[in-house]
Amino acid sequence: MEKKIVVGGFGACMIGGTPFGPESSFFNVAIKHLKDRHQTVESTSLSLGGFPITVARKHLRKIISQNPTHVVIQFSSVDITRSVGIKERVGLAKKASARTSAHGKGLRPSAPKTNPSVSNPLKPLRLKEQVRRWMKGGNRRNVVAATSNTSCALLLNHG
Amino acid sequence: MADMITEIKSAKAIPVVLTPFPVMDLWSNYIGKQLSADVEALSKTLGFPIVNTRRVLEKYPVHTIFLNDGIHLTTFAHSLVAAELAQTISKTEQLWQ
Repeated sequence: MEKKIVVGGFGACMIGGTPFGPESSFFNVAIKHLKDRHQTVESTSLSLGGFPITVARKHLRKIISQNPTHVVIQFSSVDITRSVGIKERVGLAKKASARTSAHGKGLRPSAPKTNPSVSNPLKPLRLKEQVRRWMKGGNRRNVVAATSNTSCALLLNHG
Repeated sequence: MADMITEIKSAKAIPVVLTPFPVMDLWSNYIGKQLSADVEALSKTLGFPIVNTRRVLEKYPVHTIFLNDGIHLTTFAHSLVAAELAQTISKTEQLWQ
């Protein structure tokens, strides 16, 4: 007899399929794949938006209480952008740009080609000021444009 | 992280950890890459399966992976991660049987 699989999903917004909805999330699609292969698959997921992993443990019990056989943990991108001071950012940016220029492949974002400001580690602080001005002016279109710049993740954390 | 893994294991469940999703930001990706390596090392030490999302997604063009915000993934990227996740969970099941 096949073992019953109970999968608990625990992660950030993307485990809930943000911004598309739960049916598109990698977790629910994976469960669909598993249901094709195994007879009995159950799932439950807990999605916490924009949380650091240090806070996550407090909520882990909610998943464990469901007696899962597997617990899928998805770290938030917040963890990799959080608590990065300006000195560290300058150092990391130098190392990162040196590495990407040396290898010239991998997951190098296309943003630096179109937006040279990304290579300047001090630029996010200026952007923060710009976003504030845009917010005051109520120009939402510009704010959305600012969020498309990945530096915004840093801005929000320093805001 | 190690505490969470221990807690899950003590509940007789198998932790499956996804490494941080890449984002369209050099600094964050640099940190993310280090964190992925740390998670991979921890998985070998504590013995739990991981899904290296960076490895899964880096084969494809950036515009097919990220939405315009540079953080959230497209449905295509979700489906790629889903296939890898399902495969990883199935492998652990095969080890049990």
